[in-house]
Amino acid sequence: MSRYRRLFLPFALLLPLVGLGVIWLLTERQSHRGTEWDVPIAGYDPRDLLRGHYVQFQYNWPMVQENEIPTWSGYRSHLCIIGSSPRIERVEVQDQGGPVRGGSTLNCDATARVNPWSEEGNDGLVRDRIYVPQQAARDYQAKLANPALQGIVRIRINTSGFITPLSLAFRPRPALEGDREQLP
Amino acid sequence: MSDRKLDIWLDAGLIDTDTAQRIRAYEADRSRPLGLWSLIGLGALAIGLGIISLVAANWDEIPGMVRLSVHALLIAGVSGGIFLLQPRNGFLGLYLKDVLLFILAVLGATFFGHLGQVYQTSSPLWQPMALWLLLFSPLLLLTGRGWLISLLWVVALLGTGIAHWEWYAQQTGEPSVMYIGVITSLPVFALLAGIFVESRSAREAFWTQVGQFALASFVAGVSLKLIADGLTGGGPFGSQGQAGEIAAIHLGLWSIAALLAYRLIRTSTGISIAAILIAAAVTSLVSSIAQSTEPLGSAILFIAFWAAIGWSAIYSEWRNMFQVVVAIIALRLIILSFELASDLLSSGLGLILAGVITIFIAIVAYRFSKAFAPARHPAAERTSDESDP
Repeated sequence: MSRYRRLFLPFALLLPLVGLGVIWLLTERQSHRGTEWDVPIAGYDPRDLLRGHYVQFQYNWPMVQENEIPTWSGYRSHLCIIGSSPRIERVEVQDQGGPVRGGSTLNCDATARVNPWSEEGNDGLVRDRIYVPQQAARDYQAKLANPALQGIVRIRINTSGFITPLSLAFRPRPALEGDREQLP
Repeated sequence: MSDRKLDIWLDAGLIDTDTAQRIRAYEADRSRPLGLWSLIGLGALAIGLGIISLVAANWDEIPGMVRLSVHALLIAGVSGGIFLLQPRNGFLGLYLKDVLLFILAVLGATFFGHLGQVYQTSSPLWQPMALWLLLFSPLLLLTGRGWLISLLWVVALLGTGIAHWEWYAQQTGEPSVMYIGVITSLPVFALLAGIFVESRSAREAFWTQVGQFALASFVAGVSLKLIADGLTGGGPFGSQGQAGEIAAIHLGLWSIAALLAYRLIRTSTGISIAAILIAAAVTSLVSSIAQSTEPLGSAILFIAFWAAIGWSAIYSEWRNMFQVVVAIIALRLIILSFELASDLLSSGLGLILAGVITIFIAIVAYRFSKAFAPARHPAAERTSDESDP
């Protein structure tokens, strides 16, 4: 047995090293796949925008009512994003396999699904969070609360349809437009 | 060894002055500077916590790639340390290597979380856990020696099972009866693995521990199930209709496991383990079919299961186990006395009655445990102590 062990030990030691390395490589490659989109956001809860070093916000998908957005992975419906990356023209709620509600079949440029394993659980298409440096947190909080500024989150939608927020930016809000307007 | 005891024995004439002198000299030789070591340990702990805090405070400042690279380098370094320590057999080979294995395994597990943080990805918990098991099991099972590693492996295996069960139940709504029957039998499979390899491995003590931890979690799981059956009627798994079918699958699987355990260990231990498995399957099946919330019925099933464990403990002379069995049965009886007296409790009479029964049970349990506890075997206990580092 001890001879076996001497023989197998290098392999047993290399297995986790190689395995973790491969997983790292795959994650790295996966992180560059998918399409990037700009989505306007609003502060999710004005009393609790910042918990720790992240900003919580709510997606204002252009042209969609909030109550239509799927909030459970079991609904089998997803958001169909139409536009040219990163500019979203409009977003429709689509049933999996079925046609768009009240319209003909659409060619989606990207589809976003509920990722039940995200930190927001089943609400991942409604709200999300983005991690920010500690020093910048106060600045982001002030800007999110400022009605003259519109927050824009750049997201990546990967090949499985899951969303990853990448960065947060602000632009002046056009004077007469509401929260749910299309991006200029 | 306290000097006070030696003085008492000297005064009582149990030992002579010479013997006392020799015992003192022997103990002085063997004594280790425990105080010094614990101070050094505390110092090391403080330094470790300080380093972690320093890293955590500047976590955002360090680029993700750098952090992941340092993490990977740590893993590689610890692996190298284990490789160098492998041929040694003394303190370094036995104790330090196990500690390094544990650190390596934890570093490997946190690497998955770290990847998720850097790349902002998320996946069901069972996936990284299953990958971890796949990557680290060969190493842990091939080189582990002490309880640290055997416990870690059993906990990881059962944890992965539970995580997968949770995920699967969420995906399918109601998992099939066969799935639940198999996933809840994971401790039995781990127990069989421990028994099977034990006789074939040079590290017998390690595999014995794997079996012991698996058996302990199995007994705990069955006990919880028996308690839950008494509380809800339907039982903890699935809907009412499923409980009986799952218990039937358990009866089949655990009977086969009992037969295998008996065939693999042809000693009293094999029979004891088989008896516990069969008793668990039968009490669980009766409990699932009866689906009663009567306090008396559920207590009787619970006590029957533990009585079987007590019998196994006597049969195989597991002295400590027997005392645990007596304590648990006594506790269950005390709880039962309160359950039955619940309508009388308000009158005060119930409380007095419960108190009398509690004292009575405690005395009977003490006498029973003294009278029937398996005899101590000093020689046997010493070898088992020495064989698990």
